[in-house]
Amino acid sequence: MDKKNVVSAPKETIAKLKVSAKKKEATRGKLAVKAKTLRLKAEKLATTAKKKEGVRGRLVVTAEKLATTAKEKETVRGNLAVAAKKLALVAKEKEIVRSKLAVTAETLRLKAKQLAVTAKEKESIKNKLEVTAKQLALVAKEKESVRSKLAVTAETLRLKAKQLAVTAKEKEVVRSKLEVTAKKLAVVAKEVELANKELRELDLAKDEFVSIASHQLRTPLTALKGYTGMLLDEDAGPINDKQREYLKEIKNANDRMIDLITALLNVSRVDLGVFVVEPESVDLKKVAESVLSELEMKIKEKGLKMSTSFEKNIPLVKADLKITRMIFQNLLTNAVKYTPARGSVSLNIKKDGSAILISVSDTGYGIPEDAQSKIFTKMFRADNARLKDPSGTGLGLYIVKATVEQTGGKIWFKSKENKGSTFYFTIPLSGMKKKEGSRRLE
Amino acid sequence: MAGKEKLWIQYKKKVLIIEDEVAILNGISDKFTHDGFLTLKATDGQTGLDKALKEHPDFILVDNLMPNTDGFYFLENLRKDKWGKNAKVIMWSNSHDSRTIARAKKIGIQDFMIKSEWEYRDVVKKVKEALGMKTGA
Repeated sequence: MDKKNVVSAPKETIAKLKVSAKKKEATRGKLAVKAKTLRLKAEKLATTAKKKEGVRGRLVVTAEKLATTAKEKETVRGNLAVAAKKLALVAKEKEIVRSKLAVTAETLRLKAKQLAVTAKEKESIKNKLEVTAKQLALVAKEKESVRSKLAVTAETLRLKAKQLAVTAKEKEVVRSKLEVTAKKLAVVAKEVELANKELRELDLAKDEFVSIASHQLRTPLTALKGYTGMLLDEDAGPINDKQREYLKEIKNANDRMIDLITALLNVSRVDLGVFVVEPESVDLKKVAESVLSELEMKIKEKGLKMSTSFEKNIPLVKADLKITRMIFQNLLTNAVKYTPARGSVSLNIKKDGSAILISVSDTGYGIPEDAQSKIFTKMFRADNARLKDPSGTGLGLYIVKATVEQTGGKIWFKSKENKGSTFYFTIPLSGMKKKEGSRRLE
Repeated sequence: MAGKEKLWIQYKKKVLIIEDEVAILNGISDKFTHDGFLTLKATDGQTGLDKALKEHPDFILVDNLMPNTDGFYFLENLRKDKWGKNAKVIMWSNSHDSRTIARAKKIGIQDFMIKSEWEYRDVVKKVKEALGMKTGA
């Protein structure tokens, strides 16, 4: 310490130093206490250490004991592991035994079921056997019955065999007779064949005769037609009205006779079946128009209203042109002839299914109901038609029907007296059937 | 006058008619004469052939069925002749038989006519048409 400072130190500082000394004294006191406390603690710790030493000693003993125990435990553990292994093996064996037992149990269960089924089956078989036994008993009875019958049959057969032996002899006789008959029949067949041939020849001869006869009949009529025509043409000089009237009557009668001969010739050919059908491609519209142009004068004379209806795309059809024309001519001529002045006639051609349908309608005299069933009959003429026009032959519709039907078509009509008639006929789209023959229709 | 007639005759067309039925032969012949033709007549095929080859008619009308030598005899022999092979012929007959018609057409004819279906004036008209003459109808 600096004296100067000490000398010169203020009172405050001395005070401070006094306070500090007091604090130091206090601290010293505290430290003494603490030292005491620590001494005490040290003593306690020494005591504790002594105690710990005692405890450690005991612990060592205990540890040694524990070590001994551990060794013993290890030995026991080893023994236990061995025992556990043994137990595991025993457990496995037990598991195997258990499985075997389970299988055995299942097998036993199945066997039990089978036994149950077998028992039922046995029952059923027993029943069946009983039934079979009954049936066998019945069969045995039947066999017995059959055996008896067979015995009877055998006897019968023996008798029949005897009879057959007799019959065989008779058959031999019959066979001989049949052979004779067969020979006779062969002769008869030849005779029939010859007769048929002769009949065919006879038919042809008949047709030939009719052809020649009609030719011969037509020859003088042709002369008559020619001369009458020349007289009417006034080639031999002027004629007066009366002469013209008479000559016209002669001409009409002559034409009627020519028509009749032609019709009879056609009837003969239809009836004898000797007419030819030669189908060729025919345009029905053209045929109709050609026939109508021939009738144009008569249609005009009577002031008839003529209408036609031709369906579009009517195909060409395989038909015999002459026969087709004859059918159109006949039906249209009839319609014009038997329709009063200023009436109507119409012609319609259309496709109808597998055929072409041609219809000719008129508003004419019609066919009386009682005459309708006979209208296609040879030489038949309805009374009203006969009155209106005595010149008809009564053969036209007969020939038309025969030719339509013999060429694969159909013909029919609807008519009401004084109202008119409609005649229908068809030509198959597949065409008329070709027919061999010796003559054409005229 | 006789000279004029002769000259006129030279211009007339000549028709040979072969027909066994005399009534018809005379009738049709008269019709042709009336209509300005010269006519030659024969009653069978051979006579007709002789006249045809000698006279060379402009047109021949021949019947089919005739005694001795028929229309086919005439036609077949006519076609063998140099002139006759092109001669104009109509066969007319009262036969409608298709085979007869086909046979005649095969040998060569202008037409086949059914006698009973034709008036004489129409036969003449047909011949005139075939000869390229005015028919007046």
